[in-house]
Amino acid sequence: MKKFVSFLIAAVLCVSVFSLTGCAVQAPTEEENGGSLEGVEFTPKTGEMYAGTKEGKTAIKIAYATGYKDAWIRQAARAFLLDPIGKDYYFVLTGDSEITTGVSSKLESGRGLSDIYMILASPWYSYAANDKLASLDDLYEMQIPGEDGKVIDKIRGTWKTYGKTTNRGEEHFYSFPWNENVTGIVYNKTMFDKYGWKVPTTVTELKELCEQIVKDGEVPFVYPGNVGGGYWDFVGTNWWLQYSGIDKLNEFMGFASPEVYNPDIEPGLGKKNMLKTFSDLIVENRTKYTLRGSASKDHLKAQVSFAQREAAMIPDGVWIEKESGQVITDEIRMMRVPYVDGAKTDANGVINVNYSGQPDMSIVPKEADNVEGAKKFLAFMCRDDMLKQYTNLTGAPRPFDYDISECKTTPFVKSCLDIWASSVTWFENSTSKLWTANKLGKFQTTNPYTTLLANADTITASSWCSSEYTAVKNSWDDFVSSVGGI
Amino acid sequence: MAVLTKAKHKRNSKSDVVFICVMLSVPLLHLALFWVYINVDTVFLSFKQFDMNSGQWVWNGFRNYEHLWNEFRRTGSVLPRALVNSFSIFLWNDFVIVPISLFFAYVLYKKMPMGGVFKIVFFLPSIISAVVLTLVFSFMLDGSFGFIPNMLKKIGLERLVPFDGYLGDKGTAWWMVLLYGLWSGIGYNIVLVSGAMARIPQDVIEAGKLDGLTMWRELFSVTIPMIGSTIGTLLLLGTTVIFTYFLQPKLLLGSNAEIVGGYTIALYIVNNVREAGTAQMAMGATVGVLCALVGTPIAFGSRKLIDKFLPAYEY
Repeated sequence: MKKFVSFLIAAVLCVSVFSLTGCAVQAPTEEENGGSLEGVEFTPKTGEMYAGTKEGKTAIKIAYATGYKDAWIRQAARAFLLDPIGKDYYFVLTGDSEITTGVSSKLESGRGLSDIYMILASPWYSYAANDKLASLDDLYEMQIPGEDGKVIDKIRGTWKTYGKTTNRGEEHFYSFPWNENVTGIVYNKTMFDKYGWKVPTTVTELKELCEQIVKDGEVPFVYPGNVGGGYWDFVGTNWWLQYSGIDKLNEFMGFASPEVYNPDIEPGLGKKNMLKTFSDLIVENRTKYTLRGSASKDHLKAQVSFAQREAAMIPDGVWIEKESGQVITDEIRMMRVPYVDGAKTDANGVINVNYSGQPDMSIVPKEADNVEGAKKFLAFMCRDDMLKQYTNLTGAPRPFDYDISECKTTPFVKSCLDIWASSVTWFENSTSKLWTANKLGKFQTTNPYTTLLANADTITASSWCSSEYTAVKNSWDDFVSSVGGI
Repeated sequence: MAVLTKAKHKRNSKSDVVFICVMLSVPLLHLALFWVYINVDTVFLSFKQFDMNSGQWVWNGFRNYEHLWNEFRRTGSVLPRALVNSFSIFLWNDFVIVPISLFFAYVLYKKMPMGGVFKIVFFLPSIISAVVLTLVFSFMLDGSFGFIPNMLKKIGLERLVPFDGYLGDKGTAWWMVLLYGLWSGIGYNIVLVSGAMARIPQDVIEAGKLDGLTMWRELFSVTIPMIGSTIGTLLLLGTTVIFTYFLQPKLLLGSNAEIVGGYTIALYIVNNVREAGTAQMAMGATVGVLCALVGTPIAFGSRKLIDKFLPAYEY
């Protein structure tokens, strides 16, 4: 009897464990595919997709980061295969949430390479300098299939030059724009409507709103403290852009001297002001304005708390609906990051900026089996209908000129796209060797947001900026010599 | 007889040599490729730097060691704390996890009711993926909806829950990583130690009992000495985690590890190499070489101490 009970309990525990850890490949639903896959055969287990047969055709192998799920790539691949341009190809699609960090070792080993890697922010320029990437110059000059213009003419803003870097003394394009993000403050519209809270347009109004939310017995913010500075940079860099302007931030990213970190002159002054604003609003009121335990949450736990109405707002991006839409039952919207006092203006008023976070891009390995097929597919994805389809299925824009008003999106995505369309988008980009060699960054030493939050009593915005400046000055010669001069 | 000897001699001289060569080729190749080549390459890499212009590795003398020393001395550097944390994992393993495992294994060995079930319960965390296990652990401790903080709130002990959560507070974050190590590591040890205890000849115990052997005396005077080699192996394994422990703090603390003092040496290497691009690989190699220089005497010293205090008995 004792053995039987032991066996029974062990069996129950094992089943629980295996049900927790195990998984089976199930046929994706039409919703997961982003619609019908009529006209093509798709095998979820292998990721193979082909029209008719794959015999005699060449594979285009794509590995992609899965933040926006799989529908967009499946529908893009299907459209390519059903178009005359794709008649000689079939696809092998592999979604991989770790591909951004894993691509480095894949390129180093050169084995089992995909033809395209669609990855999030990563040091792709070092892969190029290491001669691991194919030059994409001809892709940028390629005519978009079915359209009149060239690919490069359709690319927006900074992305026109972002993909260029030097390999063996020659400058070429080595990365290609994939996705652009909209970041800021996401709010629970259902809660806002319930309590009659107004969406703030200035930091002063945001502070008043936070006080009101606290008075109503709710918590203003939850943030993912153990992920990338608690996502506060989506608010903070927007404020820095408002304070200093895009030109000054580009000057900062030039890293011409340690003086770009000087907190008494621009662009360092804008950074200090931004951190002061953050400190005055959030750090000094963190026990009132932020949800208990936020500092230890990752992005998913923070989004769960947001979905459960534990807080009314969360610093986040356009991807939140795709990432956690299943648990968020309330209506949500993105608000433009409220304006700081002294924000840069032009003839039309305050200059609207969108900090897109770090760029998401595609790269093609030099040793890939099908470099030409990869380029054809990337050019095909620049067609108007493909760009709109991408936005329809992901809720995110791509950095190309196309009419997003025709996209069928949710109210949340529309609120994000409205911000994107009416803003100049900026992201970190530099050709300085100090940056590409990872010696210098937007923030040196520690992450300022989590540092200020964790050391509210001892570190101020000013002292953090001063110590950052000192650290850079002290190490400048060391950094410069380590990259062989600038 | 002469024919048999000749046949035996012939077999030894040819087929045995071939057999020995074939069997040795795999481990030798493995040693050459994954130990000699990698380690020699790592040592050389620590004296080089990646030139972004030419895409080549160029000689850099001792500059990487100089950069590392400067980084170690920099105000706010994570390296000093990372060093302390890395050694604390070794101490935690050898002086907390192994003794607790030993105690529980002994209790199970003494035929405690439902011992088999408890053995499985203890062992379960060892077979679940660390990703899932850290997720479960961090959900359990989540500051707003976690089971443990909510339970403490309900019994009026909210003051025991830090505002930033156990994994987000500088005072508790590293202790939670250690606690996780205990929770997830104890089962594996228990299975190994229980297996060793089960092989102890019962006549030794019975003879002791005739002489009035108590349970505590049995544990310290018979059981521990007789499974000394197994305990020694577990203790020696503890020295290897000093420079290899990174996954748990990475998964539990995320990028906040830097702020809450959760860095380890291995995490520093991983973050420098895996996520910072080719140019930083040399720095990872430099840390690796220094770890080998420090770690090798520790491993040999530990081995000597273990052999002295826990000699292996054959029975």
